[in-house]
Amino acid sequence: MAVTVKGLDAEIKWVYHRAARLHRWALHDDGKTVTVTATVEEPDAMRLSQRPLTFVVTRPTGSWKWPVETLQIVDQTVTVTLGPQE
Amino acid sequence: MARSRMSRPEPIRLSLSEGDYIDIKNELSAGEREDMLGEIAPTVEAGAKFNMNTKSVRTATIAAYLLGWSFVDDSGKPIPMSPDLPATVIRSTIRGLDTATFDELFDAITDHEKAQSKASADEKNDRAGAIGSASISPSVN
Repeated sequence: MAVTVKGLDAEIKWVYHRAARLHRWALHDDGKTVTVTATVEEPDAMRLSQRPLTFVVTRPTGSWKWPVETLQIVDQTVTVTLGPQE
Repeated sequence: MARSRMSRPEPIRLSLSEGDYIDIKNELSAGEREDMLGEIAPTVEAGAKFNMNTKSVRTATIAAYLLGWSFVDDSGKPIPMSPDLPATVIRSTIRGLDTATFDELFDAITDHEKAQSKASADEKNDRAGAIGSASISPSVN
């Protein structure tokens, strides 16, 4: 069953450094692949070129984290494929 | 193979008293060190006496390295600490610690810093030794 989760703010991190702020993100899990699309803000090209990157959603009681497998930025839209949630 | 000269971010956990811990950067990047030094000595003029803002030295050092901690408030709620917080919030939170905890943090971080400096110096010497050895041509008899 496909699942879509949406949110306002998230981040892509290179270890503990913020590589980009994401806004209005949507995570789609079709059972095979998990992808996120979002508006990217304050992208740091150097940090985004490093690995490992992590997609992080901060929650009131902690955070959700997924490893970033692929990342593409076109204009201000980022599309990310994620590995299994940490 | 050529050595990467980029600083690699690596978090490490240091244990404190009473079962608490802090997460810190294993080493600062050049930019992070520049920011820390800029806070300690914001204006240095060539040829002038080096004026260090001694009031900020310890706070700036802790703030530069700190990534997070296990500290909680009186109601047991975690006290937020993250490098993503505004610098003023990080600094005021650190300055709000009791003096014994502040000293413990500073000591733990400076001990780590010294150990890292020594390890870096040893590694540099090893590399220099390896380069020196490789540059000696074998004798031909």
